[in-house]
Amino acid sequence: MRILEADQVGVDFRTNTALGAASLGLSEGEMVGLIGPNGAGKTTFLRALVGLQSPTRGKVMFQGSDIALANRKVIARSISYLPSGAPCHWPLSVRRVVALGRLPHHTSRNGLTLGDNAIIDQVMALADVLAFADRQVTTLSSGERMRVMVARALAQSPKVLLADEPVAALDPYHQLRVMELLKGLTRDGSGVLTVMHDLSLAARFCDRLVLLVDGAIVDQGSPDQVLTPDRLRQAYGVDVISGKVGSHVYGLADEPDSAATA
Amino acid sequence: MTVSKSTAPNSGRVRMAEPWKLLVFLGASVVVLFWISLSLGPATIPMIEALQGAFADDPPVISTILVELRLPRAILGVLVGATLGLSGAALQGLFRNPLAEPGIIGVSASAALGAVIIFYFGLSGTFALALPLGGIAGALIAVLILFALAGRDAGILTLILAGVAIASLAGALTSLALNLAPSPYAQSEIVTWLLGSLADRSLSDVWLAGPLMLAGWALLLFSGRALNALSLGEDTAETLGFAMNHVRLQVILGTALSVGAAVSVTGGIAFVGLVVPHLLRPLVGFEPQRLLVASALGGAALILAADIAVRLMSEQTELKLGVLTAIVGAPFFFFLIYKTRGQGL
Repeated sequence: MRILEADQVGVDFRTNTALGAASLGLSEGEMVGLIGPNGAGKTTFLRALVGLQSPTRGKVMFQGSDIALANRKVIARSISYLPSGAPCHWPLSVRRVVALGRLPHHTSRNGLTLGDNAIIDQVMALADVLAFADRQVTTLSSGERMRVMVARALAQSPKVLLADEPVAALDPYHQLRVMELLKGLTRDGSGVLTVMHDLSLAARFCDRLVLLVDGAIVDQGSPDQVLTPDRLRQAYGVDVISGKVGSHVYGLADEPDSAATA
Repeated sequence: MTVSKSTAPNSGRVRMAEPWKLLVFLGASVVVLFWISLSLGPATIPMIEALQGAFADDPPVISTILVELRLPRAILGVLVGATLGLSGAALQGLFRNPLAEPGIIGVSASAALGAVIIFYFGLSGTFALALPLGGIAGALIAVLILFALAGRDAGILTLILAGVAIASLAGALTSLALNLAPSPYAQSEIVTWLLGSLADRSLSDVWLAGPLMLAGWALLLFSGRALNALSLGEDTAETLGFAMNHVRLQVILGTALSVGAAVSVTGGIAFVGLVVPHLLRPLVGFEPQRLLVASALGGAALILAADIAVRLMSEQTELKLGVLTAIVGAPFFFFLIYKTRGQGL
């Protein structure tokens, strides 16, 4: 079932069109990768999908109703957003940062309930951050910190998770850990949409890829359909040498026509 | 920006006192200091007797001294101190910046300008509320300009520069008012008031400015959860269900109301909003929400203590409270800059 749907969404910044008319549906239990070159409008699209950016044209529907008209608090109980870089401005303890994810669910001003604490424990175990629960989040490595931020997003108990480059700047081990965490969320029936730059990882973890170029969706479908040499040359301006090891597809970027000139 | 790691215990673990213990300690300090403030003065007064006498039909002189002279001073100490501590903590939470403080960012100077303009045109004589309202208007304009210049995720440099610019303009206009003041007497009255003091205030000052400060506190205290969410940046806070436009407005109005009213009564008292939240932050686990009440109590305790110190230290010419806090606070500011420099702030 479709949870989140963008219908011909366009965003203009003054005279500059950041997003043309992008349509996209996200279903339960589905992991979708949003790929495209820098400046293609991926972050703008993601922000529009969570209601942070009001679209100039078109609309975003969440569970059948327009997100622009919905109550922020209600949306926050269902959609969780993980911005790129995932900043934390104060050296809060890891546990308190994860606990912030429960804020939308508090009905009163009271602190955390037993139920909240159980969920916090659960997502911290899932993200494997219990070992440094009392550490200050600012003293962690970027990989550890991103896991904390994913745990924070999971603590929101989201039906939809929108993540902006969650594995940028992480080492290969942590990239896999974070991607597996996101994938795990889809097994519980949530939908995940994530902006990706690593196409091999995108191909490995995503059910579907959406290729955004210059504010327009130029292709979407299974990784095999989207990640063709022609498409990639057209979108990114690179030649891609791809291959397979077991069931894993990998791709290596190369400058266009370098083979010819070499 | 990210806060200095060196402000934290060395291991990077958050060691937090039991939240209620800290609040009980700070609250008890305020009560004790309040009592000391009441019992301090040129005349020695048997406190219990004076308190009992205050409710009599024909109160004795000692009761009049206590209620009319000393009580306003102590109450204003609590109100103004709590206002400065609380607004400092809230502004730091909103700007996610440990150097945001009503004094440093020019809000106090603008509130003072607002009050000086009211003085200058003699409006306070015709309409008693004019003075606090002038202070609030000045503070409000300052916070709005500040937000326009250094609102969303601006660096620390922009914030401080905007503050310098606002304070300079307010200072220049205050000087202009002094320059054009009708008489040397009016001039010296304004200058003395600007130095900042709790001395010679009356209960009517408490009644005028107190409710406005309390209204400001309510706005600031209820922003706590949103300020916690803001630790993760504006976008995340918004997607955690907090409408940032409302939160900003709430903190801006709360600061303007409380600081504007406070400054209009006592003049500028600098650095309390900087020092108190900074000292208490590690004790509340760096959490913006928990810092609010703690800073309010801490600010009240600090102002009461400083006002007691001022009275004990000065023999003939009274040392002004604002002068003392500036002399102690400015080196603390140096220390903060020294500690946070070179961290990409």
